[in-house]
Amino acid sequence: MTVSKSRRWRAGAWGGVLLTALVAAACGGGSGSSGGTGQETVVKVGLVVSLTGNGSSNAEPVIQGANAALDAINSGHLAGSNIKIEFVQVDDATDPKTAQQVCTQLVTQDQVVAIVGSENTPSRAACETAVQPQGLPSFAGNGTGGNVCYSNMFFFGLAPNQQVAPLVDFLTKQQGLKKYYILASDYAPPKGSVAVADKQVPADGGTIIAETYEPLNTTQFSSDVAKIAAAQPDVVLSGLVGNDQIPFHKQLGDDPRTKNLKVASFQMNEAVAKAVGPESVGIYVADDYITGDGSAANKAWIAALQKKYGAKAQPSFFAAETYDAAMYMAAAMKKAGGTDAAKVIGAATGVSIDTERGHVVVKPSSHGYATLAAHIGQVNKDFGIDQISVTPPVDPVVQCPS
Amino acid sequence: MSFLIDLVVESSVLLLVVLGLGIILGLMDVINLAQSGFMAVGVYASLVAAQHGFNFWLAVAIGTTTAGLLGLLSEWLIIRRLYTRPLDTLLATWGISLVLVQVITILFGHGPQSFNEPFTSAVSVLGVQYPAYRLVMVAAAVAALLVLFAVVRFTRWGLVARMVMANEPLARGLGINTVRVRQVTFLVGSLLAGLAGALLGPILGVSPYYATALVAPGFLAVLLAGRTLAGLTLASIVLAVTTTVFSRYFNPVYATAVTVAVAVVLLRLFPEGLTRWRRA
Repeated sequence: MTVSKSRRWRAGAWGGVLLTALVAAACGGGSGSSGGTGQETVVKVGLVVSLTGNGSSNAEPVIQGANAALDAINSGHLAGSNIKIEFVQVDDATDPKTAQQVCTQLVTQDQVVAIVGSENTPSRAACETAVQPQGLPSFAGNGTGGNVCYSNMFFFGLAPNQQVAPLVDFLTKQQGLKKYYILASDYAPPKGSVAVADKQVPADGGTIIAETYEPLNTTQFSSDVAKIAAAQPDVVLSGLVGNDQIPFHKQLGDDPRTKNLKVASFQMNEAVAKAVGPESVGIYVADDYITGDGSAANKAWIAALQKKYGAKAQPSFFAAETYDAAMYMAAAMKKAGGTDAAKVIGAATGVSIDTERGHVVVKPSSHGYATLAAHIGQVNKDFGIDQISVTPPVDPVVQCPS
Repeated sequence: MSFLIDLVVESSVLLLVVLGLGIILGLMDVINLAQSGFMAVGVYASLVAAQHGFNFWLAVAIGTTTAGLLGLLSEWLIIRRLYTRPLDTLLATWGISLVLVQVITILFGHGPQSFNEPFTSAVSVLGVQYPAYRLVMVAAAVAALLVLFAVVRFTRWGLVARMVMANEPLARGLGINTVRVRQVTFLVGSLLAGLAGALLGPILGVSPYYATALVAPGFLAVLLAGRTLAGLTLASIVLAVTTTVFSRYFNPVYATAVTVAVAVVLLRLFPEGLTRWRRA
């Protein structure tokens, strides 16, 4: 009796281990609406967002950016004088399997004409298995490792070279930081970024004294802090992603051995800086958008977002990238004279838009990746990001798998 | 030397997470998948209290109490009805966890929250400067362990709990209110989850999917532990030390896999739990 009881709970506990691993992948359904009258043609566009799971912390600004673009497109007839766009928003649960399901649903059931999304690389790839066979255009409001290419997809985030090379240039040449300690998530996009740093650091005259990776969802970084303390680099370059950054920067900043080190990050944004707290102050960042950019276009964009969302507005790069992705889609539709998939894809490499980030264009030679300027900034004591400088637009370096 | 303190701190963090899981499983045969949910409730409640001007420690107490009360409520509403079907509680507690996470998401949004430690100073331990707040984890884990040990060992409640654990039908036959024992156990487990959640918040960073990454090794530890507090402690130390040493000297990416492998081997050697050999 005792033995069988013990076996039973043991089996249950193993189930517990497995199920907890699945908790983060808990699926969530999407919702959409239809309707609309008048002479305008209402077309549906799929909006794929990671509302749940590890990517959920970015969901709110992504949704805000997409809907701000939607308002601008529909009120300004930017997709064509007779086209009104409507989003069908779905949740990929930061999970490739869910992504494939919801994207299949978008294509078959909702009959969308295009996809706008901000997903991580595995989910985006899974979504593509549903979207690409239909030949629908897809506009990604984020970057990737610069090593995936799709004939139907356009990227409005940075390829690694567009972000990393300017950041390393800034750190090494302008700040005189020569010895790098690199720590990144064991995940394709940050690894692509680190690969660029591997070349750029020696090219600028610096050295990489250590390079380590941590799995996604790591919360305990004491081993890394100890290694960094022993290495005593000039600068710690972090390629950790999502919420993993929070415990790392807290633990690094609290340790007396490492609290005064210079830190730079590929992924830091205002929301993460705020969650990290005082330990985030002074971290250098490079991105394709910085909220504190003083340009008139950016100020107007932020004002519009704040008008729509009030105190909850999050004008971060997540919002900016997704906004640009949706705006670019509209420009391509207008040029194509409709929503025919092949025509929109063809038109997309020929248009350009001017947005809060400046001039955004996808050049024909760039495999769907946008040419973008890099913004260098630093976390200030209010956990915002002050812009230090903006580089001229940098063409993406893309290596398509053969 | 600071590495040694790291090992102690990491073991304490795991022990804090595991204590609540361990006593609920040990006394109730309930695999509490809502543990991370209750930890999240603990940390968000503390956060709200801290934002309303409460002192950090008072905020932690409020977070702990909130998680405990929610635990009591879920025991009364749901878990109690499933005592004859222990494996179904797996699904029920998972469901509770999903509901808690979604409610937190609705109330606070998906984004990470800011929750800062009450002090960022460092203290000198064994000749090295170490962040003081991390040492609070050690103190909390040791204190929780000692209190639990004292209650189980020296009080009437502990005696009753041990009796229910050893032979529930007999205990019920002797007039012990086993339902009340289970209720109190779930309350204590939830309180411990809330305490762990609130205390770990400033170290881990707070978001709705709080602590899910920590609860998986927590289940492994419970699995290894058998049903004794000593086993829980030993299992936490073994797993935390394995992960930390492997991350430090080899590759952090494979540390989780190695930890699971170590757990599997140990389970083969000590199928009834790590401390079982002493009784053989």
